[in-house]
Amino acid sequence: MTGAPEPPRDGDRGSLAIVLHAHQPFVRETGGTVTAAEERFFGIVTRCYVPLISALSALVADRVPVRLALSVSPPLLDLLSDRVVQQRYVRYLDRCLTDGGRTLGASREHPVLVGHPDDERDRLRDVRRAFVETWSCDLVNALRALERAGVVEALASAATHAYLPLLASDPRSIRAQLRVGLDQHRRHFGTSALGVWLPGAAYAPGVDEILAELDVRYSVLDARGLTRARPRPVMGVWSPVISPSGVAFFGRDPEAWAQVAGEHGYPADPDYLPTEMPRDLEEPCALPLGAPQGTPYSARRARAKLDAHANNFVACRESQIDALAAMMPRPPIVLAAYAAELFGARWLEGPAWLAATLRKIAYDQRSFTLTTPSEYLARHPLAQECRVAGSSAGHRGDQASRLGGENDWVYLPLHRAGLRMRALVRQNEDATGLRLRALNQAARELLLAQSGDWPLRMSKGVLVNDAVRRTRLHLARFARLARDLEDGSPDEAWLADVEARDNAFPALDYRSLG
Amino acid sequence: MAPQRDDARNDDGPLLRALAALTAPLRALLGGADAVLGVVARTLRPRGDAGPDGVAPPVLRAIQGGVSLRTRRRSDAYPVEARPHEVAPCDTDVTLDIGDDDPCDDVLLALPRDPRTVFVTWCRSAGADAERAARITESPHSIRDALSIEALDEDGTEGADTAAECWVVTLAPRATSTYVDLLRPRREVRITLGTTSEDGDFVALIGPRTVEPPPAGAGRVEPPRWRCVTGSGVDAPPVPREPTRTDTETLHARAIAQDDAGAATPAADRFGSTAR
Repeated sequence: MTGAPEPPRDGDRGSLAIVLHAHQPFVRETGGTVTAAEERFFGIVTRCYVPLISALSALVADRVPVRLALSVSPPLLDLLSDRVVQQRYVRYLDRCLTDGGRTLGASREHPVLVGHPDDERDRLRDVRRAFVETWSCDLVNALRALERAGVVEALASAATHAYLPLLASDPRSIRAQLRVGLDQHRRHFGTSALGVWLPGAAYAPGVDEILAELDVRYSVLDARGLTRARPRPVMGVWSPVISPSGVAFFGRDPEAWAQVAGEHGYPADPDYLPTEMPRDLEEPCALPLGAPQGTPYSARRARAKLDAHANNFVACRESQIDALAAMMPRPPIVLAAYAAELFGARWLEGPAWLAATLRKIAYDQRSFTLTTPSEYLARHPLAQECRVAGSSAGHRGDQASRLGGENDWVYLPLHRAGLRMRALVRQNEDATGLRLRALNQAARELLLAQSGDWPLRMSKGVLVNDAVRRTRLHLARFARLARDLEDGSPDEAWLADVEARDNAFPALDYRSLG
Repeated sequence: MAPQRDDARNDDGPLLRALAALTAPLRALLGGADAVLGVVARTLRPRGDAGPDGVAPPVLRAIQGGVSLRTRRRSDAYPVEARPHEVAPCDTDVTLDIGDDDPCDDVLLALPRDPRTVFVTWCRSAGADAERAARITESPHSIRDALSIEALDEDGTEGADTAAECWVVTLAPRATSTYVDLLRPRREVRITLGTTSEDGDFVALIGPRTVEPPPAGAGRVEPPRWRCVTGSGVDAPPVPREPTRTDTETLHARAIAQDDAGAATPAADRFGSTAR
């Protein structure tokens, strides 16, 4: 893969930074059957991650000057680089091919609108070829290549996508989540991340101090984190602010977000192929409705619409940046941040739209430059000092979607487990042998139980039984390990079994949770 | 100092004021409002409804309005709803031992849900429970069996010249968690779990814990301070010229308008107006 040339920098009226955040919970299975959660994960790899990486690699091959920031959560990195998961995924693809490609992009509600089975089968074959032959089943390797090519600036994230405002009563748990997340990033990418994507773009007061302590330069927040900051930022969300501890915070541009991912965003156009919606997402999302009953899906019409929408997005950013630049004393930055799963999993044509948009930004306009947050900070290191506000990407910017009658039972056991883990670390500062293994596994189980996906799925009513099962399972495994460690010696055979099942973070040091 | 009531929010109209008046004799008959509140809260509030924005249903507020007239020694304020703990539907692995019964110290957890609601949950050590039971046995009138939560806002309402506010929420028997309605957005609240003595004093058992709910509105405008991002390697680049006051207001209004309503703009409208 060759390095991408520098993007044009005419005028520098303003910049656009596209930030994608990819995350899936740790749904590794070793049994003989594919669970619903695992099947959902494989579906997203098929529709989103493989096409997205293919699209970006094609841009690099064509030497299109492209920059974007990409955060891949540690559980997703571990899943994508796991040999067992890779083998199970290939078997899943083979099964889909023998099923006639029904799984890909199909909609049970609108079976008549599904693309032609031959198209689906071709698409599946392309995915399988790219996965097995081009990337040797290792998508993390493909991501590393994109990073080395200068196309992608990789951001780190919390260890298991824990929702940090609901851990705020225990700052050491937040520190452990972020520290392990940064360690995992270094392990997979070989470099330290300059930026961190906070799960759910959720910020709680005090997180900036932990980020500064861990040497993180910047993070991205929902717009409300900046609009409600104290004092009010003089340049709105179109210039980063800096916290008293020295960490820069960018605000997600609401307009660019709504245009693509909002309830009435591009994917809602009836010319696009309807897909099954993953509903366990923080925000309301664009819903591909499909064409009116009886109108067949036309790939040609979808491609034309995709091109028009790419033009529209670029035109809107040009006019937006022109208007902002006229008011601001420095070039504005419009930060367009999306869940990566939007492109493909929720919007089948999404990866193609993104590639078309990136090409048009590179060649069809001169109003703004494509940049990444760290590049912008390097050019404009001075920022207004503000205390950013507690906020999230949730409906009203608060914790309402994460904390309610359906899931509030989770937080006390998690808090107690965090306290117990710290006591174990204090009592076993230099553990070796079996105790070391048990302590590391206890830390692993606690981090997995803290995943923010489980409470979110409970509140959204998506795969609730699985979410409850996994929360209880990780907490129960942690409790048993803690009891064994407190009372004497762990059961080695049982420990080995649990280590084989929950094998996330192989290099984890339990002292990180102390 | 008497607490500041948000009269606009609690004015539920003549019908509900009449309901408050009608329930007054019943409250007097039962010797307190907590029993009425408990019954009414369970009856009126649909299961799982934590109040989408933390606002109690108007009928419940009308009755609470009556309750707030009672005088308490430490906090002559309003008890807020006490909601029984609700457990998520769980039909798998219910037999897994997640360590609920393992020995623990006293724990009080207070989590901000939205600008005016805090979720509070706790567990008490076996020793503390035994001590409390012994106190009740020795002197049945010294403390009540039911637990209470005291919420203290030392700053008062942000932006308003109000003094500290303090109020107590009496909990349903055997409750292990509750949502505390803060009645208005607050910057910082201190939550303490305790109980009330027969003569109305609040007796602290665990806490306090300080909670910072997410703010509800934009921050104040102040002269900006500028500084460099850590690690930028730049000592002191020139301070940027600030946008004019008009431009700042326009920028901020634009950000807030999009923040609140951006997602509701139909894509087709935008597409039609700006397509090339």
